[in-house]
Amino acid sequence: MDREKYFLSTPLMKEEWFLSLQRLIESKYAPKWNSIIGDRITKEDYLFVKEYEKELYEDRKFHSQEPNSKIIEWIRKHKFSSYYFYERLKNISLEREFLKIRPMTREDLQNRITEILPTNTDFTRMVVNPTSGTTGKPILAPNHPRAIGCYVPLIEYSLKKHGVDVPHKSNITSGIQICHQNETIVYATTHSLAEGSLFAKINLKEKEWQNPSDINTFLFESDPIFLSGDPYSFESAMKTGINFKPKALHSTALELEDNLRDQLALYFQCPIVNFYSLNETGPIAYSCPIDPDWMHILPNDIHMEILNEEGEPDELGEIVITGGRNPFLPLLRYKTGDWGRIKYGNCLCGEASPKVQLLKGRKPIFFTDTKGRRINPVDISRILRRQTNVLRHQFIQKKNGSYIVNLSTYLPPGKSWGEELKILFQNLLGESADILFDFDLPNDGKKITVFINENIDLKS
Amino acid sequence: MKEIRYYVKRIAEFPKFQTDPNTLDLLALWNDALIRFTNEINNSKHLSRLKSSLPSDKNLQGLHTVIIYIISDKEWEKDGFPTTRLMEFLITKLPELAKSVSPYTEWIHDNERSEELIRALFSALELLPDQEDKKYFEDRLRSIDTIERIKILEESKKAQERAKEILERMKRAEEEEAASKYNRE
Repeated sequence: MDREKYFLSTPLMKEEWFLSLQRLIESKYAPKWNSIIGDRITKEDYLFVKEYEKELYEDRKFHSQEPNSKIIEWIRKHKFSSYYFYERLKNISLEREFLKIRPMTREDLQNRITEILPTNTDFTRMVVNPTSGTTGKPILAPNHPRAIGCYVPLIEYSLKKHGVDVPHKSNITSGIQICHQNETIVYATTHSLAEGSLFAKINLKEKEWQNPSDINTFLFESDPIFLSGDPYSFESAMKTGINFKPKALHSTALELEDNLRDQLALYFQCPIVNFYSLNETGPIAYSCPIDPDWMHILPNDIHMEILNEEGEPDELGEIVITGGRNPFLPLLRYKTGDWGRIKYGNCLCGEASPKVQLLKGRKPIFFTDTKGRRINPVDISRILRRQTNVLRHQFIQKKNGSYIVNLSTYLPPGKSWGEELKILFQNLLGESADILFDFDLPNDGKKITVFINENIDLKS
Repeated sequence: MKEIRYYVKRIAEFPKFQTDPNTLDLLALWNDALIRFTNEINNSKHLSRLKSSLPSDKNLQGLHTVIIYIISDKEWEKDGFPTTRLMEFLITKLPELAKSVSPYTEWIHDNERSEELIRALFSALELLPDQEDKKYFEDRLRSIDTIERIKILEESKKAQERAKEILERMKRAEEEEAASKYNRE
């Protein structure tokens, strides 16, 4: 075990944390770990997040239709450090004309990221966590360990609201993130912000384990308080017969359909916390423990608006976010692409923040390879994300079993690049896969369906 | 003079609800403000200079009223200042400032802008706030100087190398430099 790397990637690591982590990593039932990543939290980050946590619990009446003074101050702070902010805020009285600020779009994040980034950006601490890319044009959202560290109190707050406490002790496993992908990073770590409690990310694919039965044994042995993942992973866990019962399931990334939620609750016999979080924004809302159709706005440093198609505030419309804590991605009226409705006022669950109902969420979709095995679209995004030339993609599985990859690229594809791409897709879908590449996908900002499987009827 | 925070607070208390640049007679207001320093009514030397450069731009007019409000405070009488320097500031520097930050109410609502405004005025009048030496005063003004910062913003926008570097770094950083978090999106 590369002791030094673990200490480097988790700067606040203590000897007893490491010993505990070592036991988890060296378990004979453990998966084939393929990465070492830590939380990268420094002493200063730790203090920042703890202060953030305190405010998160204390300040719950933070949100109204108008942006509060904290948000206005935050925007002002960026006016002279980000060219994008400067341009958008020119001749606008922030207090009286907030609604005149032209919203930020996904295209802005992809094409104008260098103007959005504050000029005093110190890249040395920039991290990029891969987005699942299952629901739209993937955005490589640069982030800061400190902002990622804030996920710990944010997620734990949502669990607490569902009656689940996560003890902070180095000899317990706080959570395990499960996924079901052809290829992904698999690691175990300790979280400094949870006083050294353990955390792991595992892949349910059998090839990632010494023996298929090890998945269950490992979960029982490590005994995590909660399992995190997307509905697709939870469904796979249920279907592969995982019988470990955590204290909660923490579901994110994709729309959690009512019937799946009910099945999961029945199967795992625990609360299901649905979480609304985007790579660009970080956590936004968690499902109300009383009425899971609605989700409470979670962080108190964002401002949410609902804008109709004319861009006017409405009860029902597109979810637009301002603020956040990611220094590399300040959001100014960012149009998430998700639609919902909002309700203000106290809730019976005791939460004072407004609640939002997602109308057209991010529906999961899957494909099959030439042998009929399920392919997670994350694996497709993963291949394309690595191609610096690709701006936008669309993947279609045709009824006749062939595949179409529509791409929009910076430069026309060279021969070697096209060949490389073909090999990567053949590795995923099968050597005999009939794949057609088309490079004429327009990059005009108009919405497209990124993943289409003509064999699946989404309406059913 | 008092400490900077005294003047920042004063700017924050600017009665903007009583200020309508459409109806205010700036020359009359300046006349009233200057009497205390020049002991002259309708001071022809300064006012005629000001008259020829009075702005039609509402934003700059608003900023004039803020300056009038700042110096209509007893504190200024103690130390005094040469009125010609004030005129220089009004005629050359103030339009530049008005152009860089609009609407003028931003100079009131944003504490940092208020501080910049008062420091720019002090600098033009060659005054120092209490508790500060010249070096600190100048460093601080430079660090919050809007015009300087806009220049940096424009330069960084032009710097395509920076863009390339950021994008490359982001691609490289993915996964290899990820930080562990409890979930994914």
